[in-house]
Formats: sequence, C-alpha cells, structure tokens
Amino acid sequence: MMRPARIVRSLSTAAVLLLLGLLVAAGTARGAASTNRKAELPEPTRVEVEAQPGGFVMTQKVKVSAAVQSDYDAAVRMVEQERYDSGIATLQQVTEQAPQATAAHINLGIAYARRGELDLAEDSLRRALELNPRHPVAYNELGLVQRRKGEFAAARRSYESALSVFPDFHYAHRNLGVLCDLYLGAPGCALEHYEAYARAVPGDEEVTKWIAELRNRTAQGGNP
Amino acid sequence: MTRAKIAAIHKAANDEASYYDELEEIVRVDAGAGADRTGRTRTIAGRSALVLAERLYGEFVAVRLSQPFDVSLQRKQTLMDALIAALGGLVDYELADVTAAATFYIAETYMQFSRSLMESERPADLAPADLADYELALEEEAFPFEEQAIEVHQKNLELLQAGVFNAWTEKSLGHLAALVPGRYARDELSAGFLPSIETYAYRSPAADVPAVVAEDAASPVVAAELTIRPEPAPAVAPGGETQAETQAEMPAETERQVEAP
Repeated sequence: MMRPARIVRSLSTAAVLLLLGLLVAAGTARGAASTNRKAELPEPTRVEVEAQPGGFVMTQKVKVSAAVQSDYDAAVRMVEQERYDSGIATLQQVTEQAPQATAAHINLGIAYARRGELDLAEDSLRRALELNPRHPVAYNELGLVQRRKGEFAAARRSYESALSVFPDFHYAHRNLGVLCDLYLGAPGCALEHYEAYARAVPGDEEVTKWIAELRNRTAQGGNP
Repeated sequence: MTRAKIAAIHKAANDEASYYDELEEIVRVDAGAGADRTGRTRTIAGRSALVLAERLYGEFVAVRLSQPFDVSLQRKQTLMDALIAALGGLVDYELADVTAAATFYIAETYMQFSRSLMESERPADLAPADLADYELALEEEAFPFEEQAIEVHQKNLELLQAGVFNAWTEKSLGHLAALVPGRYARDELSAGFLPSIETYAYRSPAADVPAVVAEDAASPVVAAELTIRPEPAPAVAPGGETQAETQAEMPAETERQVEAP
C-alpha cells in the first residue's frame, strides 16, 4: 500500500509544481449525468494526482472494509481470467458497498465492454468519470466503447480528454491514431498520434510500420 | 395484413418458398407503385430485395469449379453476372444499410470467385510441368478479382468514414484487415483492469528504456514501490471485438441473414 508521507518526500520541487490537478474533488463531472443520477452520487472523495518521472500516480482515498477490499481483489482476478459473469457480479457488489470507488466502476466498464455490453460499459465508465473527471483510463476505455458504437466524434473527444490529463498517455495516442486512420479518414491526425505513441513506446515495431505505411500513403495522396 | 407480416410468418414457419415468393411480390409491387410509392414501401422493398440477393449469393457460392472446367465456369459466371446486377440494383433504393450490404456482397462475390478459381478442380491428365503452368494461369486470372474485392470493400470504408456505421461497413473493414493487414490491421489498446482500488500508477514504457534515466528521478527503490504497471490487455481488432472474440463470432458471410422485412 502506498504511504502518502513517503510520496510527498519523494517529490522534487519541480514535480510538486507539476502536480496534475492535485486534490481533484469528486462531483465536478461535466454534465454527463442526469439530475437523478447526480442525486445518487456518493459523498465527494479526494483524488490526488502526483507527477512521476515518465508518468503519474493517481490516488483516491477510499474507505472500504476488508471484505470489500477482498471482493475487489477477487473480482480483478476473475475478470483477468475472463470469468466475466462472476467478475461482473462481484464488481457490482463492490460498487454497491463502495459506490465512490472509481476503480471498481472502471473495471466494471471494461468487463462489460469485453462481454460486448456496450451501453452498460458506457454507463459504468461515465459513472467513473463523475467520481473522477480526470481519470485517463476511464476516458480511454470510454473512447473504445464509443468507437465500437460508431460514435466516432465522441470517441475522439474521450481520447483527447485522456491526453489533456496526461499528454503522453500512450494508450490514448494509439487509439486516437487508429480512430483517425481507419474511422475518420484523417491521416494527419493519425500520423501525429502514431508518432506520439511511438515516442512513448519506442520498441513497438508494428506501429513503426504503420507510420511508414501512412507516410508512404499520404505522400502518394492516397486515402483511405 | 401487410405483405411484410405475411413474409415474416412464412419465415417463422420455415416455409422458404412462400417466404421468397412474398419478398418477390413486395419488390414487384413497390417497383410498379409509381406515385403511390412511399418511404416505407421503398424501405421494405429494399430490404426484401437484399434478402433475395443473399439467396442468389448463396447459390453462387455453392457452385464449385469442377471438371469439365468450361461448363462449371460458365455456370458460375452466369450466376455472378446476375448477382452483380441484383446487388447493383439495391443501390437504387438509396438506403444506407442496404447500400452498405450490397457493397459488401459485391466485394465478397469477387473474392469468392477469386477463391473458387484457386480452389478449382485441376485437370487429371496434366503433366507436372503443364500443371505448374496451369496453376500460374489460374493465379493470374484470380488475382484481379481479389483486387476488385479490395477496391469495393474500400468503398464501404469510405461510407464508414462518411458516418455510415453498421454491421456491413464494419465487416468490410474486418475483411480489409485480413486481405491487406499492412494497411488495415490496426489493433486498439485497452489499458486493462485496474489492480488497485485506490491507486492507479502510469509509467510510460519509454521511461523504462535503460538508456534514459532522468537525473532528478526519485530513488529507484521508491519509484519501484510507487509504480503499478497496467496489466497487458488484449488488443481490440477493427470491427470492435477483441481479436479472440472476432474470430469466434465472425460468421461465414454465407450464413449472414437479414432480418425479415
């Protein structure tokens, strides 16, 4: 378990200045929820985002019982083993017991998406963003769901939101590149984000080939 | 009772002959409706015509190129001409989903013809050297049809990029990914499940490259404690599903059925 005091000691002054949205209060989500759903939101929680070399650490203090913590850990194991029925049921229990736990909503959204239940996936990911409007994973996964639903403009906004939180978040760069390349027919955007991804993941030879192919294609004036 | 409902009843009863007869009647009546034609009758007729074209596609696929080659080839070409004409006619209904379906099937018709040539029964009496020449000639005949298939699937991709998102445009993209992987096989990435209920730690893979060490980085021991790597997640293939799901769920195109109009 991470200890806050040690986190603070590990930060340089520059890193402190780079704190990304320190103490982001929950409940500041941008209009995604209906009035009724907002009424159901749990007590606001505090989210700390700490810049790290090459990344960040996002911490939400969640008071949960040992049983809920155990259920969460078990659910993660289940969904990682692709036991989605039991994993989703357990995550639902966790979200009932600890409705403020953003991670549980994100995992639930990912699990629903893996099972092809895109509307439920979107609901869970939006709830996660209501709790923590700056969670790049929630935006990235929401973008994937929106792309699969054919909501390409919304998917683009979601990926861009992830990148506004952390500009080097490689998942969002890759996915936005693919979205622009295949689904939006926007080769300039695709190249920009493939290249950003390649800088973040220098060993990915597959994407290196994508970049070469895209450069070759655009040089010839071809699309799609 | 409308003809569409009657067709649905025949379909539910597995009375294929009556079902297709009813669809043909729907298409015929709409074509001759003149000023009485409405958006609704055009939609129902367009979807009926698509089902009829799918039946023709099934007949086309079923014809194998066997010896005597000329005979089976003529039969398949005749069916292909009729099928391409029927599919081309679907575009006149000006329905986005029907147009995308027709485009998909035109591409698959060319692709299937190309495959049929390559899988055709070889003459039994050819000497090895002549057989090699025969195989080469088949490849030369088959390849242009594969190229045509790719070009037509690309038309559906243009529809997709213009905002026509449906199963047909997605399927065309999936087929393009298989036919031209260097251009269209583009997997997306999920960040994966979050292992901690409280903390999400992200670290760019570039930061782990040994040659790159930031001078002001936290001590290695602390950095290691603070970093929770996102678990590797399955890639999501074009078409939306994870790759494993795509392989498991993608039905053969001949099995694809359109809802009864």
